[in-house]
Amino acid sequence: MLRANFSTRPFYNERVVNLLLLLAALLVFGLTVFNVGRIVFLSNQNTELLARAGEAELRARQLRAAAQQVRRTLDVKQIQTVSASAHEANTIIDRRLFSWTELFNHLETTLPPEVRISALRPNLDESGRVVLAVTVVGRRVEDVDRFMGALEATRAFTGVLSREERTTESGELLAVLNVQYVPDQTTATAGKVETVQEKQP
Amino acid sequence: MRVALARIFAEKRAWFVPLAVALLANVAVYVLAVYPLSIKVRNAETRERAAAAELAAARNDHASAQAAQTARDRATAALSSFYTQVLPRDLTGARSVTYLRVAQLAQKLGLRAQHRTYVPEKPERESSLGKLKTEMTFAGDYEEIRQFIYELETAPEFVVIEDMSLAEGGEPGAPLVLTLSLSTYYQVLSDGT
Repeated sequence: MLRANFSTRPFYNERVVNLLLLLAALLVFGLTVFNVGRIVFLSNQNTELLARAGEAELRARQLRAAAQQVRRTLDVKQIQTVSASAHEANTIIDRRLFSWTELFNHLETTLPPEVRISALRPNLDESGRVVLAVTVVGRRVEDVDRFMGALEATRAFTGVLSREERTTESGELLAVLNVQYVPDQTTATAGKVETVQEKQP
Repeated sequence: MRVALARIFAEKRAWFVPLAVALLANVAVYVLAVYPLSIKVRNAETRERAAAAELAAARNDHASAQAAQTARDRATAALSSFYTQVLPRDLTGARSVTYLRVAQLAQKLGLRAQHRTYVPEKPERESSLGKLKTEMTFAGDYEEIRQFIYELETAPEFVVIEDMSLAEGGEPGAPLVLTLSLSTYYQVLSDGT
């Protein structure tokens, strides 16, 4: 078989070239689609973000202006006066809510039969704590000690301390007890005046 | 080889040129449009985040101002109600609460009044509340005293038991002696009334 090429221009593998061209065309087409898609997507996103930001900025400006307007109606001196008055009223209400009857109930349930209370002087200190000076008369030191233990066991009394003791003419033991009383706090907020205090933003 | 490529290029020029132009156009579009746009979006995201933070802060600020206004209004209303409906209106009202009502209550329960003093106190600085302080001494048995204190505490009149002392009488079998320090308050207006 004769193997010779008689053409004046040798041919090349056109199929490969066409395929490469097709691939290049596809690549360019892909790039175009990518670019167009990115432009559309980014434009939309940009518009949306700017709209959201603008809306938020506008709303923030409106809220700041409204807050300023509200604050203009709040006179600082007036607020301080109202706040001080509310504090004063609450202090008075606290004192009114303190139950002496409950205190007597506690003392009655803890008092042993051999001990009697001869004097009672409750005092409210600066921080609102009730400190009782209870003068008790008992036959023996054990009786007074039992009373002190019973007071602390109720958890309504703490820091029970016999401040002074002496023997009476009748031979009984007289003790002056110092007791810190912690009343039930469940009703402590009832009927109180709300205090005025602005939280800082 | 070079000749072949030149020939291929020459024969397929109709394809190569548009493809090259399209490729360059794509590169140009990316450099001039897509990339700057993506930077704009990043900036817009930053701005949107800042705006959202600013909005949250402004909301807090507004809520805080409104809460202060509401608290002031409520406190003012509560104080007004406390001054006018709970406390005696003036010194006369305070006196009638501690003088007549307490005396009537003690009498009803069989307590014997031994001693009474009344001291009106002017409002402290920055306060508008006057105070009528009463010291009273009663004699009676334990149950009467307990009932008296209970009724005083549960009475609608605003009387505060500031201090109390309970002591046995000097002689055996003598009644207990209750010394009470009571206070009631009333609003003193700026003209002193």
